[in-house]
Amino acid sequence: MALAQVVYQISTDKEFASRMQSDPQAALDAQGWTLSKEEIAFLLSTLRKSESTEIRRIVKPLLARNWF
Amino acid sequence: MLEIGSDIDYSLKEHTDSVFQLIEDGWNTSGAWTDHVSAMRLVIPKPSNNEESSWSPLRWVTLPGLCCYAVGGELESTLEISAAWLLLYTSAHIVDTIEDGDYDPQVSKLGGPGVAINTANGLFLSAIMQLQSLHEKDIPSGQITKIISDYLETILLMTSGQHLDLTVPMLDLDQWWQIAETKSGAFFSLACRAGARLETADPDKIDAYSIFGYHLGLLLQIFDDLQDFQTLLESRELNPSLNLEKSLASAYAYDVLPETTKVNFRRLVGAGTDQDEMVDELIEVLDGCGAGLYMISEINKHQGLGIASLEKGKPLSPAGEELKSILHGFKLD
Repeated sequence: MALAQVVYQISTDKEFASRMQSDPQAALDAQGWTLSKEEIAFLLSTLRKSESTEIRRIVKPLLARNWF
Repeated sequence: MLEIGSDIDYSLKEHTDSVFQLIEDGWNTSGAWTDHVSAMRLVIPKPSNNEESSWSPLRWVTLPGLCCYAVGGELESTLEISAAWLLLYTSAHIVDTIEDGDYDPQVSKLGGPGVAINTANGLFLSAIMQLQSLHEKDIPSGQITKIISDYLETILLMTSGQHLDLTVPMLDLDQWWQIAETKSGAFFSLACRAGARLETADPDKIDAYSIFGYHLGLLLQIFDDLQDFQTLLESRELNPSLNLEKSLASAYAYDVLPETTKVNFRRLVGAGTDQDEMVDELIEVLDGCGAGLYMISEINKHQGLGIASLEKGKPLSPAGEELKSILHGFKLD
């Protein structure tokens, strides 16, 4: 749930998103939120790596899969 | 002894064939009538020699073997538990398909819900027989008891998850994770834990593979949900059978959206319409609240935690590397 709150804030508040990139711990502390170190690391790596997180884009690579 | 050598795909294919042969042998000596066996065979078709099957259980039936091999055991020693896992996977799939009102071409070939449920019962009992046959092998009885109890407890847990899934019309995020953990997470964790347990009693090693399987199961569930969105975007139809109300994206949106937007979101996700603009509006709401970013973050998280569990302590064996490559396959980029 905490990760969801942080992701929502990143998606709707540019200033918070920018603070999460530069000083994630301070950004979280200011909101009174806690994420594990792993969650912060995975979230930041997602933010750095992903060009776009739009649903249309992320489901496209699934076309090549048949895992279900 | 079947080694995982340079041609790992060949070794695993041989192993998969042996699992299917064991299932056939079990049916042939069970006393089950031919028609019933034919129905069970219909939903567990033998892997083709010429083409790679896309039927998903075939991809996962080697999990117990890989985990056993990774802790120093042999692929062959996992034939019974692999067969049992595959039979249970298929049994659960049939029951889920009927309970959820989904369409599956293999299940529909069985000729109606009554025959399908009876076939699922046959598969379930075939799985129990495979587990019981462990007593004929040179395995300490205490270890066999633990393995069989683990299977039964996990199945009971899965039915609890299915109960929640069936009784709640729209899931919040906690409920989505609870269901994913008790169904897919628990079942894939079982496959890996049982494989490791056949070779070692070391709880740390068993846990490492159990946790790996748990994260793999969760990743599969997330990707399964994403596939529903892919179908939505291809069909441009908010078809109720897609069950988008119970997807991870919807559970996330339902939890984080402010009340005013939530009302509109509920209207959209449950609309059952083929109006293009409503599909676009739904996707726009999900993108606006960061549902895509949330799902990618969760994929990265479970991928990373699964790999960390595999790598705990020591360099990976070839089987461990194969397991790791499975998790690396869950990339969207």
